[in-house]
Amino acid sequence: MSFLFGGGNRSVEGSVDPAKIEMAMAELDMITDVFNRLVTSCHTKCISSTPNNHRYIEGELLKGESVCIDRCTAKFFEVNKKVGERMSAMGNAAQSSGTFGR
Amino acid sequence: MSTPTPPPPPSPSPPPLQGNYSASPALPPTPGGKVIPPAPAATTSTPTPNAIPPKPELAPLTGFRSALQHTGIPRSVLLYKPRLPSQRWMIFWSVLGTVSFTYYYDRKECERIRRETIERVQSRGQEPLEGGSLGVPRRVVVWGGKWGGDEDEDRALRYFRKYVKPYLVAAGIDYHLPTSPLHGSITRQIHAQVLSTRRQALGLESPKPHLDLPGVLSPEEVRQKELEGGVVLVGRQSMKEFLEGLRRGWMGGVDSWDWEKEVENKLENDGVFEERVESVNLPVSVDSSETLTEQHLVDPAATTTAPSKPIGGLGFLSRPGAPPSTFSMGMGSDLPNTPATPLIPSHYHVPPSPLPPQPPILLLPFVNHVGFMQIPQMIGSWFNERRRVSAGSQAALALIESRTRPFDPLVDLEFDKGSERFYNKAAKELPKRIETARKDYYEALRPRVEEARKYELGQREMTDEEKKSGKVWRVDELKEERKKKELRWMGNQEGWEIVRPESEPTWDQRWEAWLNVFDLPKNGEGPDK
Repeated sequence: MSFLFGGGNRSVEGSVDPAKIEMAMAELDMITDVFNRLVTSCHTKCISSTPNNHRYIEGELLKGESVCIDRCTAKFFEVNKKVGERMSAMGNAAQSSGTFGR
Repeated sequence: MSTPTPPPPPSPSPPPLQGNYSASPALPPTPGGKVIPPAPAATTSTPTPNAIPPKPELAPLTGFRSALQHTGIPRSVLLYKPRLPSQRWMIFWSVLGTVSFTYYYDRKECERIRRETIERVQSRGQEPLEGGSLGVPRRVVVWGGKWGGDEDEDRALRYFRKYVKPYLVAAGIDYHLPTSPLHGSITRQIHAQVLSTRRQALGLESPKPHLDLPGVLSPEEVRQKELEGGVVLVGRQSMKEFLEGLRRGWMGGVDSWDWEKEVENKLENDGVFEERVESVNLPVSVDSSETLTEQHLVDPAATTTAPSKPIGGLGFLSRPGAPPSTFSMGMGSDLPNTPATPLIPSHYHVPPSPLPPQPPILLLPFVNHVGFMQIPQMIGSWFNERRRVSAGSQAALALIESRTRPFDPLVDLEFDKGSERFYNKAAKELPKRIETARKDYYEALRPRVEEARKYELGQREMTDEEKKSGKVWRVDELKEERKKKELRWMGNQEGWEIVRPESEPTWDQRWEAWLNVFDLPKNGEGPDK
């Protein structure tokens, strides 16, 4: 991607391209954000849904919790993917037509 | 309402005249509290003729009523006697009451059964998972085949999700729901799975690369987990498809097989997209339309050159075990296998003996009422939700508690047979409908192919419509479209042959004592009865 950001002619040994760093940071932020949201929603759903529902009563992961977390994670990513696809489709449409969604 | 209405009930007799408070104290109370009927002679014997005839005297109140007489409570209240409402109101209220109570009772029972079953299995979900956070819980595979005559292919799986899944969730059992969009999808998926297992065992196919990471199970462990899990078959149609899949997988040869490729090979050279010979180009297009109407589905190439075979006979390809004609020999079986055949020794094709163990099977009864004629059953089942909830909970209990018994062909092949009479007309006419759709499609396809070819050869410009939409159909796109349609048609035809009520479920004598089923409790046992 260096040709995109003009990194080709500036790449001096030892120096770091700030644009790349920014991109990497943005990427990292995004991944962290997705991960945090995933943890929050699946923890809320599976581990501490109701206070008297044997919350943390065992040190180990329980069978029910394990199944729930598995499915919750899979579902989260599936939804994430679908929403992402839809958003990018809308974005493309907006770019080509100049309006957003109308 | 067409029922003859009963004659209107006699209007209720007027209540006894009340409210004459001034008159009652003046009356001398009769000893013994007898009611004094107003004397008819009293009015005639009054001396003044113009006086208003006195109101009939009211009966004195007795008992507690007499005690309350002077407290200001109206006499009408004291004398109130409840009466039944009129006949029509009675009918209305009793019908309304019965219907609402039936519904209420039904849903309350459902609630109770669900609660009790969940309480019974809940402790299993609260056991620690073996292997800690990297452990793998028990997992069942659920097959729900398409119900004939219903375009909604998710019905059987939805039934599972509604009536069995909640208990599995409570018990901490994972479930996998593969979709089966066509008739016969289960058969084909099972066939492919079994075949791949067999081929891997024989070394004809490289096994999936095994990642040596924590939490990734080795193939043996995966196999062990599968056997501990189980298979749920929703409805008789799924059982038929599943057994047929087992037969094709375990009892057939081990040549590599891919359904889509098989269909592609069948379609490849049937001549629908064949180039015509230039010299006969014009007359052919005229002739062939006539032949089409006569012979339903004739390969357009049949009128020209080339290896010609009627497409109308495609039905035979979909029948399992049908003797392959020359056409399918040429296209279907020989060609795809040519590269593999010389490599596979003939004894590889012999089914393994003994057959490797299979996970136990749960047979879950399922009926889907579709269509106008089955509205009474739909209404009936709406008020009898508890039957399905109970059946679902018992099935789930058998699965969760892993009570198994050997598959008994005499009993289990008859499983849920009654449900098959609910296939409606649309289901039974499926082959005919497919034939019609196919005929119409091929009739419409021919001119489209010619147009596309002309455009590709530069013999014509875009038409106005194409300019407007900016899209011109290419021959390759048409081929793709036709393949998709044929996949649906052939798949459904083949599957319906397996599922239709007349065909018996597949069974093989060599399968004795091979399969296991989860043992459902007999009627009268269990907590829900």
